Amino acid sequence: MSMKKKGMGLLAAMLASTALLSACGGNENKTSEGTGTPEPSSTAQASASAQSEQPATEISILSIFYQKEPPAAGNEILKEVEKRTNTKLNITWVTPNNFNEKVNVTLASGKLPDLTLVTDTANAAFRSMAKQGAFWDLTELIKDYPNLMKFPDVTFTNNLIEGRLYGVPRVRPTEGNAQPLIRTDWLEKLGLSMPRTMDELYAVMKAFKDNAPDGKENTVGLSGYVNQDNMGQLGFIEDAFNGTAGKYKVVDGKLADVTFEPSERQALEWLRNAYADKLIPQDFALLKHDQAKDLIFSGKAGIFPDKPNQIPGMLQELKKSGQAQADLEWVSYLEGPNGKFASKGNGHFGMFVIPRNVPEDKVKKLLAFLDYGASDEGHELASYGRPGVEHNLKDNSYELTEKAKNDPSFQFMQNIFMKFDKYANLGTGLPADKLAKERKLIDEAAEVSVTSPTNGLISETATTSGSDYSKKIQDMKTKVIMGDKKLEDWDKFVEQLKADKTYLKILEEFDAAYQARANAK
Amino acid sequence: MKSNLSESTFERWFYAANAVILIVVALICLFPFYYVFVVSFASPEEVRQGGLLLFPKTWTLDAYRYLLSTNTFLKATGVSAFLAVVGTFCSLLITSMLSYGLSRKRLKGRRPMMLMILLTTLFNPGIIPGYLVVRDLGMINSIWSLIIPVLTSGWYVLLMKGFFDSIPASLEEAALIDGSNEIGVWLRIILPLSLPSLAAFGLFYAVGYWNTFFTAVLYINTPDKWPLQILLQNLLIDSSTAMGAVSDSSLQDVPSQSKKMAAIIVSTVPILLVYPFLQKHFAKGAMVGSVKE
Repeated sequence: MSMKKKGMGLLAAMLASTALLSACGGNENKTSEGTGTPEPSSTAQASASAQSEQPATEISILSIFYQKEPPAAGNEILKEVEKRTNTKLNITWVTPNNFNEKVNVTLASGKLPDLTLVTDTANAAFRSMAKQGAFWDLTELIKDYPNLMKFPDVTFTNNLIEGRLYGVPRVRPTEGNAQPLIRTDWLEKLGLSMPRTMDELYAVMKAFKDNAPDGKENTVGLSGYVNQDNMGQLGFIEDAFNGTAGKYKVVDGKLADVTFEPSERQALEWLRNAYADKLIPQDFALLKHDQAKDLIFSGKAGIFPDKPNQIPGMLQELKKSGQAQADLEWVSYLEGPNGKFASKGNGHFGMFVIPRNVPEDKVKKLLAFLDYGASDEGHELASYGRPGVEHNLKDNSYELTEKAKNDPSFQFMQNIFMKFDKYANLGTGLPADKLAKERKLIDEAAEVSVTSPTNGLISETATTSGSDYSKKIQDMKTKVIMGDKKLEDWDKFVEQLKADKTYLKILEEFDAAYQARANAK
Repeated sequence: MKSNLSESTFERWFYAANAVILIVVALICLFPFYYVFVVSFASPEEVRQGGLLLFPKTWTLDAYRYLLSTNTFLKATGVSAFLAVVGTFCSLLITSMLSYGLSRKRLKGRRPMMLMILLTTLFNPGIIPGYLVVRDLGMINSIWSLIIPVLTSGWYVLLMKGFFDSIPASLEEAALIDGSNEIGVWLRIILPLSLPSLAAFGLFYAVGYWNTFFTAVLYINTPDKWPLQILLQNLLIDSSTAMGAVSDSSLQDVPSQSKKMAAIIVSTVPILLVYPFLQKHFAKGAMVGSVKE
């Protein structure tokens, strides 16, 4: 009897509290919806160093981290950052693999840290929150911060939500993307020169395969793989043929889907031949990133598409496996039927948003904090630590100390402090002459590089059913390359897609969003 | 006589073939474990070259040294061990009390309560409502947020109730007549009788707690309270592939295969070691509630 009463009471209490809690959550959402967009006022920028007299600003941050470990409490570099910016930092570090879930629950909870990194800025829930005024509109405010304004235009444009900027972009270099890294020592050995066109690339791959410069059996020309819903590491081939990065290109001011273009068919034909001639791994559809890279390290492939910053690490790995003479070079651009092509990044990886309930004074301090991070000094501290402790300057280049090399969380501040550096996609620790050469390659790429026109644009239909189409299309592409299907099958497939209303709607929606953005400028 | 002999030869061959096939199958099952084990002791270069299959040329403890070079890994192991021990204890306590109560016919309102418990096995709260409840209970960034929300499972309650159902009510009456109170009956009579089921469910719970991962991602903010599985995932999954086209993997230091495998060994072996000790009860316990008299 007593047990029954207790049990029922407990359950009733639990139910009641659940109802109460959900009600609370709802209320909070409403209040944040109710607040209007802020009226930005343009007062002069408060420089971080001038504030040393004032008490330290407490800043809570939610950020991603890519290091082996997040910094421990009392980390010396973290303390130095606090000292220089006169802040007290409370940072929640989240691993990349679970970042989106964590951000989603944090956004939903309504209790956001002062600076919250959102990497998936296309997320519908996030965008509607922004439109409803959950975050500070920084479109005007940010203009007072010179270092943040050094970010390239594309970085800002791609982060706009209905023409407004609701966060500080986490800037990334735009040039130096995944394009072929070629074993130049192999080229020399065979008396070949750096390929500039797709046909030359094919010829080089064939020469690598036929001559096997390292004498390994089953040598292929180019190592790479495809993902389930895109061309993965082989994507640059498609892009070079289509003359655009990704699935869409601009033709006469309108968006076009490259799937329908003849150049896509040419790309597939090229890959199909390469597969038949055994110039790409026969198991490319199954390879993982590391496995594809291992073919390079074991001397079984001479080309791997990746960013130029991978070169030093890969050379080291090659050396370890006994190929000290190996050298790699990044191909700055490739010429396809649509002219020279280099891929241009979208210029950002997420942005830091500031919740609307942060007072304006503090917003300025937060911006000043990030502005410091985008300065040369802030960037040096984040990337190389303190002079004399974590690094020493030698011939104008940073040399990391043993202490820095053994620190599992070294460079953690780079996740928050980002400076725009055109050459940031180059590897570190390069000798001066090589560095100069690579910088020239980046400049070369910058002249012709094309970015994906749909960066920062949203199509509702693409969000709901786009990935199904991507998988279907990629499945067909893989089969065509492997020879399971003929090119005629691809033509039929394209015809079917052209008749598919839902699929066409994706293009229409992207185009509408593209036109809206182009006209707003 | 002759036919008998041939039959026994046939049988002998049959058994031999059986044994061979089963041993091969067993080896196939064991091989991945063995491979993980040897790779964790081999040098990364050897693994890269693809030369390693059965026996590494050089045995090295480098990977383990790397893992234990900072105390993060040990700390995370401590958190996971705490969850497995304390969590399992609390879970067994609550589950056994609840299901014992439900198994007694004199408890009124049994059916509606059972129905409610059944409902929890069918429906889960979403990620966000779950997070809001935990947040409003003030448990964000507390290790208890990994125990209390998953304290008991409706499914296990129903299974255990099935087990308690098989204990005759007369046993309990006898104890009550002899002067024991209700708690005493539960503690001194019922629990000792249901050790097999406790062992089985304890194992289920322990494995569950040891594998705590997603709730920790959501509810825990400071790295020193991370359970082992978060670290493990961080080491094992290359975020450049996990995040698709957009990523800044250039910032990431990708650990070698040996280190990954060493991490797997460190995080699976402790919980594997629990199995043999509970094996005896486990076999019995898994049958719990399957036959009702």
